[in-house]
Amino acid sequence: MADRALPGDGDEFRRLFEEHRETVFRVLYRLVGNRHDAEDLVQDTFVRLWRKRDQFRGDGSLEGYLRRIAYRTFLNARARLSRPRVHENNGREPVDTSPDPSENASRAELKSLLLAHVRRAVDELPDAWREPFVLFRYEGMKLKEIADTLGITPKAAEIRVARALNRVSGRLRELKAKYGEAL
Amino acid sequence: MSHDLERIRDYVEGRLPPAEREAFAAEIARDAVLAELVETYELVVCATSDPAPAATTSFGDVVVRARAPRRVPRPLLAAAALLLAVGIFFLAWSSLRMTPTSVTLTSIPLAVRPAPGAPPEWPRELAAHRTADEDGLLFYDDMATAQAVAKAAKAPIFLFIHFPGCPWCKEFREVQCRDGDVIKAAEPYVLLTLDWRKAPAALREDPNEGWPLFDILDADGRKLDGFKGLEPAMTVAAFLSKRGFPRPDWEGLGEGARKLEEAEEAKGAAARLALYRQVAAAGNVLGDAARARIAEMEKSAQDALFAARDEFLRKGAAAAADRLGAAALAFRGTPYGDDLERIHTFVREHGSFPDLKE
Repeated sequence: MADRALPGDGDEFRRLFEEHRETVFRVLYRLVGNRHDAEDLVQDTFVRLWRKRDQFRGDGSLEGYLRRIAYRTFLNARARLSRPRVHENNGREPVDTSPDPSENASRAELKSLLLAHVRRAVDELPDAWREPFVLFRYEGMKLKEIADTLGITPKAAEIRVARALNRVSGRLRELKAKYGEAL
Repeated sequence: MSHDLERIRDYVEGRLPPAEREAFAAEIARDAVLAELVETYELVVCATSDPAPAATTSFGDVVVRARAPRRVPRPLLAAAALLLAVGIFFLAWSSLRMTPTSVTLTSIPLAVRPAPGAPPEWPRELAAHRTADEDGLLFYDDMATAQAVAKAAKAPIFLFIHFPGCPWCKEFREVQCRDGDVIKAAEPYVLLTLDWRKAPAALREDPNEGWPLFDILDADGRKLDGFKGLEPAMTVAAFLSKRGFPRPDWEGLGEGARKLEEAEEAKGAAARLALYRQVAAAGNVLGDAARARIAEMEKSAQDALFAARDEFLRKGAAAAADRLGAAALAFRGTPYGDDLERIHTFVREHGSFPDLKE
């Protein structure tokens, strides 16, 4: 799809939609943290893509262009969305993220609690760090691609992902300092 | 750092080639900080390994969304609401401004002042006053006029007392009064000549000691100096110069007096007020007269305003507007007229009498 104009025809655009729907949905799902809002934003993203189809110059990858539009769509909607969570429990019982590990807890339970803390640490990252970190973690995007999607410099993307990882790492250190033996 | 981050991820997710993986593992073993980051990222991967659900949005949903009215972003809605609020506020404010309840006066005072007394008079002779002409010195021939001019000019009086048939008096008129030095020396004085028989008793000295009689008087008629008998022009000039009286600004006094006369003749309050204002700064009777006449005009405008207010209370807006219109016309071109016109306009447009402010 790279290096060419976007289709102006409905059938071709449908094919484009089918081809990239999952990618766009996945990015948005990781950013907003729930299926409903992500589906909503997918529709907005493709509507926006259709309206802006004349602006695509074809000099970059369509996937990158789509990710940028998806991210702009997400930014426009962010104020009305609830605070996104990276991880949706998919209908499972909510995990208690603030228990004290007891001496009687099994190894599996301890592991589960530790992961709950990690999830919470990621959820609580500032937006500016969380968003590039999500793209880095889930989409496997290179820092250059993240920078391109978010409209920031690669250096800024690198710093934000590193800070996010350090923040999570710091939370784990605190946890270990408190419950070292049990964990 | 980017290399490290991406390598950490690729290592944890098993995407590094075996050789590179082995090298990186050795690096991790040597570097505790790197080891901690790798461990953290491993935990992050474990904690967030739930796969994303599959998308269910169909192309039809996109088409429906595309045909739906565009959703207005919240910031735009907020901005529009803000603009609307500002607009409503502005309209309300403008509306309040457009219906004022007061008029601020710039010239007519609101404090009621007592009616001014008769304005001070000034000697009309000042308008044409000259000490001499081509025929020699010019004398006033009555005491009251000379004193009035002397007071206005803050000048002394040179009194020449003669007697009918007195040859020395005649010679004085024909010779000394035409002498240039005498004329020059007489400039500080108001010149007065009196028949001995009509002179004030205090000044009517024995003429047998010499004719004519000469006195220097202050503006109130009190004698300051004098001599008797006909003396040469040089002696007369020396006598007049002896006291060193300053020469009054006869030209300025004449001009001021002429302006006051012109003001009295002027048609229209604007011209009259302008002339009075030109003279009002003078620190003499002319300035006093001008200021008194300005105060009269001000009082007259105030009377007209208060009368219109009474008219409004007694007969209503139309009668008050008529009176104000006439008053504004009478004072047209003056600041009083402007004040009256503003009130006139207000009463005519709003049908009410405004609160007056200074």
